[in-house]
Amino acid sequence: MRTLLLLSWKNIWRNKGRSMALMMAIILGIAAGLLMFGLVAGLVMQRFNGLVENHLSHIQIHHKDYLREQENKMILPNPQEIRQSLAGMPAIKGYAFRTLSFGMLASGYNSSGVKITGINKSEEGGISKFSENIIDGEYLDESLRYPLLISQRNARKLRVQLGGRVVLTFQNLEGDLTSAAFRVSGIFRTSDSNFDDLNVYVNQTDLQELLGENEAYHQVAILLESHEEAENLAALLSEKLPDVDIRSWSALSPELRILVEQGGFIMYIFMVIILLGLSFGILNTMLMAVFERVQELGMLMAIGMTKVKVAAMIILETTFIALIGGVIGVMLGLGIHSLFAEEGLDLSGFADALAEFGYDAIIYPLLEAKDIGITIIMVFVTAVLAAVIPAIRAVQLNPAEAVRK
Amino acid sequence: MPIIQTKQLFKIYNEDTIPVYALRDLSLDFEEGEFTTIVGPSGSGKTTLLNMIGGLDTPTRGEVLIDGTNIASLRKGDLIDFRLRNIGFVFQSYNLIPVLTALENVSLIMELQNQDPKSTRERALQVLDEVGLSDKLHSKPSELSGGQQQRVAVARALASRPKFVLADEPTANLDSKSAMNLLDIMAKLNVEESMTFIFSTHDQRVIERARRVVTLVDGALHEDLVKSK
Repeated sequence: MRTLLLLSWKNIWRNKGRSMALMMAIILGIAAGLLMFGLVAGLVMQRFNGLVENHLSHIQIHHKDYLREQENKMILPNPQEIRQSLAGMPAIKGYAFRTLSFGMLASGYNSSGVKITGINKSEEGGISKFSENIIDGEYLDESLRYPLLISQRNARKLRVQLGGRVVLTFQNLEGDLTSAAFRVSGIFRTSDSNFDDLNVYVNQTDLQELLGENEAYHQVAILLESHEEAENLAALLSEKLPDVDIRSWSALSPELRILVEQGGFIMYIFMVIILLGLSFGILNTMLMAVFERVQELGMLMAIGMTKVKVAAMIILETTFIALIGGVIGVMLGLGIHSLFAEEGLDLSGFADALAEFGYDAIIYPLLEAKDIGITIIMVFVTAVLAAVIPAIRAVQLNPAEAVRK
Repeated sequence: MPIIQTKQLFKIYNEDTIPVYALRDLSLDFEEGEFTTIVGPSGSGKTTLLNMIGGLDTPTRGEVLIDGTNIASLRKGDLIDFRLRNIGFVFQSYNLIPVLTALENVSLIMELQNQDPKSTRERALQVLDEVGLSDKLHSKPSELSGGQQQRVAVARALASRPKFVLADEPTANLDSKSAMNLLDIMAKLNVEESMTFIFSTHDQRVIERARRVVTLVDGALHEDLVKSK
């Protein structure tokens, strides 16, 4: 074994340029793989957190038919019983009752169909970081009559500014149209332009007053200590509160569930593409190494080196290159990761396009030890597998012919 | 008993279509300690005969017996091990491993035989001294002349004390002085280590140094001349 190790180690340095080129390919493959793992994981996590922390939460409770019919009259029955059920549950970080309606937002210049969410600021603060999205003005200034939060996109579309007046028209609980003039108290901007186009926020009491029912709640948003508990807790709550519809984030937002579940899969597809390119590089390099050493390999087999040892020698050479490339690649990958981990990768140039899909313009890569381990193993296995064909070619040589070539 | 016997040895290519006879009905005996050269024109079957004796090729018909063992009857793995332990090879193009030093090249076979490192090193130093390269132990092949490289190859062939050494045109790539020098060394080792040498050559000066000259023509034995001592 010592002989094989020595021979393999020395062989990789006989053509330094070629070995270095191969190592460089492995280094870049691993570094790119780690960066990609980090960026995709960061992107998915930011999207998840953005949705959960802005409005989705981990669990939502609605009237049995609300999510299907979305009618204002479908308010939550017996909200007091719901509060009692939620109080003291250890996995729950916080909850907020929301009042919802769909209507028309109009200014003197333009109009837009919107979802109106009536919130209780103190409750909402316990489950949502939505206030961080306010870029101008205040979070529902209570000194104003009928304050309203509007997105920057809608403010531009309707040509209204802070303090400006807009009219919301929607159905009350009786089904009659009702209108009220609201003052723009704050302007928000999230990373999701579709969300921004569709949502306005008002004080819960104002909306309840206009709907004609002081205890009108359509939704309870619940934030948990960990999103992994959502399914279990939703099931538990469903047992306790059989008269309402209780769903976890994954049921409420199937596209988010797919993103979280498939995010890793997408990373692996990218990784496989990188590794496929790498494997062809290794295959080509090692085949060249075999063809250049036909006489020498023939001699080794002639004097009595077994085919297994000859194959092992070729695979060991690749393994050494993969090991060196792997270590440097991980270091480079972690280095690049740490560069972007704090400041983030600024893709402001594509901010509008990213916002269309609900992604932030600045991506903070997220890398776990597991991802590093998987990347290293995948590159290592690729390197060894790619060396199998050259190794087979080597052992297929006829020593009697090979020594005379 | 002869150390090597070939019995009615045939090597025929394209036997089913247009047969080409590389060896035909060749029966030869080689005794221990012989210093024999196989001569003949190109295509006469010299290399084929050496490949048969060395177990690198299989006869179409006939047998090669080494110490009474028919090597064609050995399984592939056993044949490789048999070569490793019993036969030393010297090739026309030296075929040293360029990344290893002279000492490492010579040690290689013994390491493949899993001999202990101490005795491997001692034996490698001894044979390199015998071929006059004790001052080139740590030189790589690229730092040695052709003659020196072939001496390393001879030392490598001898290092594991094989039953015999097969050398295929060992002086073909050497100048006259290096060729004669190599032959002197091989002749000396033949005597001092009682090593059996069988080598093919075209070189008349080499033929003159051999004690037995086997001449092949068209794969068949043309002449088997044993010189008197």
